[in-house]
Amino acid sequence: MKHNSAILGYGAYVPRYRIRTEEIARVWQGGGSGPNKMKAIASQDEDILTMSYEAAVQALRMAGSGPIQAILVGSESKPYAVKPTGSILSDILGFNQTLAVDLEFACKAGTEAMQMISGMVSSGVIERGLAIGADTAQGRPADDLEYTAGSGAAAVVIGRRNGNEVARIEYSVSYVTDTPDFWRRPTRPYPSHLGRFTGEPAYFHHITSSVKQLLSDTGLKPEDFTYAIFHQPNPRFPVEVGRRLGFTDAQLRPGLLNEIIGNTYSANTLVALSAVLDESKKGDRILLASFGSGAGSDAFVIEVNSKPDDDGYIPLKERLKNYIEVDYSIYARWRGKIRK
Amino acid sequence: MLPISYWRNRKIYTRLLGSRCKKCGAEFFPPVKVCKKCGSREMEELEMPKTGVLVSFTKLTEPSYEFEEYVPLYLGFIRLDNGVQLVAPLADVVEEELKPGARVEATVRKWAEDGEEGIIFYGYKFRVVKQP
Repeated sequence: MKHNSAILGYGAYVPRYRIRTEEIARVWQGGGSGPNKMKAIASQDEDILTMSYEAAVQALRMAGSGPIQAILVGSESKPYAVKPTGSILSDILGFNQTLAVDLEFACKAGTEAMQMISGMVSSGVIERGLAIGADTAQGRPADDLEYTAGSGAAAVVIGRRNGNEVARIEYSVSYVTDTPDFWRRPTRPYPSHLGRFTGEPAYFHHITSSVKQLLSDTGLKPEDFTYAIFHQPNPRFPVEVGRRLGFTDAQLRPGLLNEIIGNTYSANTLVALSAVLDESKKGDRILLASFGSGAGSDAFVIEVNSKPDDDGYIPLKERLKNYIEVDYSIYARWRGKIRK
Repeated sequence: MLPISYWRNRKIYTRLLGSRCKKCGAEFFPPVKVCKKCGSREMEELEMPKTGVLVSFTKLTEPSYEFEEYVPLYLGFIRLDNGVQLVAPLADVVEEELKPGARVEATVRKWAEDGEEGIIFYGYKFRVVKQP
C-alpha cells in the first residue's frame, strides 16, 4: 500500500522502574537470568492511559499546533474492558472533535494504529491523527514471558506532508494468518502461549513474509536501508530475522532495546522507531516490521526528512539511563501479583 | 470520590484547569468564580502551567482508604511558574530528590480506583525533573 503521509512528531515513554531478570530467576530458581538483562515496569499508578499520555505529549509538542482528528490506541492491556482509552486520552489532551478508538492485535496494535492513521491522512479524510502503541504486558509468574514482558508507550503524530516533516511514510504491507502461538481469553489475567512454536511458524514466518512482500513491491533491497527495526520479543529474534533477510547488524543495532527494557508489546517497534529517529538524518531510509501474535506483521518503508524542531526534546536513550531498580516483591505488588 | 463529581471536575484534575480574573489578571487553581484579589466576578478558564518548583513535601503512610494501595503517598507543596501554589501528589519519588527548589513537571497518573468494578480516577501528579 502506497502512503502519502508524514510523521510530524514522535514520542516514546518507558517507565522509570526496572527489574533485573536475574532477580526474577532468583525468586523462581529458574537458572541464571532471562534472555534480556532488565525489563521496564510501570509504577503502581501507571497504566496504558497514563503512559500513552506521556508519549502523546512529547509527539504533539514536536508536531506543533494543529488539529488531531483521530486517536487510535493499540494495546492488549486496556484499563477497561469496555470504555475506550482513546476517548479518555482525547479528553485529557483537549481534542474532542476526533475519532477515538482502541485496537488490539497482540504486539502489533501500535503499527496497526500507524497504518490506519496514515491511510486516513493519505486519502485526505483527516489532516492529522495520533497513533499510539502502549502496554503494561502481563506475564504469568514463573512463565518464560515474565522475564521479558515490559511496559512502555509510543506515539506518532501523522499528518500531511509539509516539507518540514520528520519523516515520510512511503509504503506498507500487512501479512496475517490464523496462528495459535499466543492468546489470552476474556477475563483471564495472563496470556497462554505455545513456547517454541512462537518462533518459526509465528514470528519468523510472518515477519519474513511481510518484509519479502514489501521489498518485492517497492523494488528495494536490504542495502537500500540505513536502519532496520524488527519486533523485539527478546534480544535474539530481531537479529536472527534481520540476518535471514539480508540485513546487517549495523542496520539493526540502533533500534535494539530489548536487553534493557524488555518487550513493550504494542509499543515495541514504535519505541524502537523513536530511538532510530533520534539519531537518523535526512535521506536515511528505515525498514520497520512489527509482529503480533495470532498472528501478523506490518512492514513499512519510512524516509527521514528533517530533525525535529523541539528544543526541549531529550533523546530516548538518554532518558533510559535514568532508571530505578526494584526487587521482585515491589514488582509483584505494583503489577497486582500480590494483593492486600 | 463519586464518578459524577469526578466527571464534573475532570478538567481540573487532568488538565490543571484554573481561572483568571479578567479585571486584575490574578490566576487561581482550582478555579474560582469570584476573584480573591479584587472581588470581580469576571473570570475566565485558564490551564495552569505544567511546570514549577517544589517548596516542600510530606509523606503519608496512613492515607484515607481510597489511597491505601499507593502507600507511601508523597504530597508536594508546589509553586507553579505563574506563581500559583498548590498541594499535589508526587510521582516516581526518590526521597533524596525531593529538595526545595527542585524543578517539577505535571503528568497524569492514577489517583485511585473504585474497587475492581468501579471507575479509575486519573489526575495530576508532579515529578522531579531537575535538581536545584
